[in-house]
Amino acid sequence: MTEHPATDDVLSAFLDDELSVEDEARVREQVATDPGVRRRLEALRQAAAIVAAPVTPLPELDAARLRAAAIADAAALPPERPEATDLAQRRASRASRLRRVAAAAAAVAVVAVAVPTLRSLERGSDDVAESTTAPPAAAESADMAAPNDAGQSTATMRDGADPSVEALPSSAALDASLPDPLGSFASRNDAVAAIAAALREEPKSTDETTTTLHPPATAPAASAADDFNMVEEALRRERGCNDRELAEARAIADATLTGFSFASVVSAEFVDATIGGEPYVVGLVEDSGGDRTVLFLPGDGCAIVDVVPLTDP
Amino acid sequence: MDDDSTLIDAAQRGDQRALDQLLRRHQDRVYAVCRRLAGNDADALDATQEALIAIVRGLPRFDGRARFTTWAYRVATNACLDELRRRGRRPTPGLPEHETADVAPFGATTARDPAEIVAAAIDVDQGLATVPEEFRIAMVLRDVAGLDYAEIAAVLDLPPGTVRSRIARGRARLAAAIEGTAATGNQAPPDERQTPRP
Repeated sequence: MTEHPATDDVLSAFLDDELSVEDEARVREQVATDPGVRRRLEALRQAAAIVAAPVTPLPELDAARLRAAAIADAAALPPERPEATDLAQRRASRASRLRRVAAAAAAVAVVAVAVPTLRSLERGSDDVAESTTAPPAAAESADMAAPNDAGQSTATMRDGADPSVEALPSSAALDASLPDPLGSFASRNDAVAAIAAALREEPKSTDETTTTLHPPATAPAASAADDFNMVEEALRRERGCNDRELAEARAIADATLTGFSFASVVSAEFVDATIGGEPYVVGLVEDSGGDRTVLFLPGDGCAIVDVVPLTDP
Repeated sequence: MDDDSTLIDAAQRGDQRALDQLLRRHQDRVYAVCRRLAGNDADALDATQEALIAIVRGLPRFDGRARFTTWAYRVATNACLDELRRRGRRPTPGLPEHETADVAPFGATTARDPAEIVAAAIDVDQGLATVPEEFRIAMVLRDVAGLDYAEIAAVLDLPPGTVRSRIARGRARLAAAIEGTAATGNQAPPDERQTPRP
């Protein structure tokens, strides 16, 4: 008696190692003796191989944007918000996310960017772009920093100031005016160097374009929960950021700039710049202790994606 | 390195770095699933976004009874399909990415010269677009996500036998498309088993 040839169902399961030992042995025997079964098995195998063909992975920057937007989206929602929301609302939300995909650029990647960036400053490296495409190992290392290491990370960041700008004059409130636009730079480090140079040349400018943030320098420090508020206010006023964008910017900052406090910021100035061919907004902020920090925001967004201390505390 | 459970615990407690790390671990596979289901890069990107959001939103309710990957692919697959359906899209093959898989002609088991391989290259998206969605989903979860039949059954809420049948029928349909005979064959109901041609 001739045994019926194995069906596609059986052959496919054979390919997936999902048959019983007995059925598998039966298929093996048929494959060895029946050219038709052998051809059919090969056809199914090739179909499976087509589906399994590797998908070109997302570029890391796009991947980081998606993660940042997902985290920010969830953070911006009330905790008990139902998962299935109104379609129009979802569309609006999605449109907003897509608009701000650039805003969230490297927002999560900044975890991998900020420290390497500052470390590269420490090394005297001039290629921040390299940091922005940090190798997985670097990203991994940065990502694995525990939340309670945040203070330490911040200390590392602040210790990583460019030695070349340590001699910058300090003041209780930022009194320098940066050229606007700042210029076009190959890297963020170049932009930082340009700011340092501008401050050296015009240490006492009283240009009115400088923005003094509310509350003034003498105001009591904001609570931890309000750390971002003053910078938010500047972003709202200077960059036209709306509530939702600011909520997401806050979430991104909370997630990625852990340990960097904006509470003591007393003044800020924002100028346009082109870095690596992309539009950016570069902020120079000064805290009540006279320490200055350069902030980087994608030009069409409201999220701070990198912070670089300009002076050593 | 932290395993998923450690990251999940931390993420559920609000550690956004852990959440980012968890997403980072699974994002490529989620994107690959959405990419194969969507058939083009742009829709896959949006679908992946929705999938990641769904995972993040649903994570507080993940109770660890299922494997995280099974749960995550269930959430991601549903989000991805919902997004594609909202957009009224059917797979649009080959735009803009033009992925190909070098597949030898059926019956050919030996290596050929490179020119012949290129000539025989199969457009993955075009091929998958010929496969009904219900088969394609099962195939993608098997061959892209690497889930076994039981896991796919859990993701799709189907009996394992149906999963097995759908995968087989999807592969048969794709094989037929490759052979250029898709239009005439394989019109049987989804769960009817195929008998190999003599």
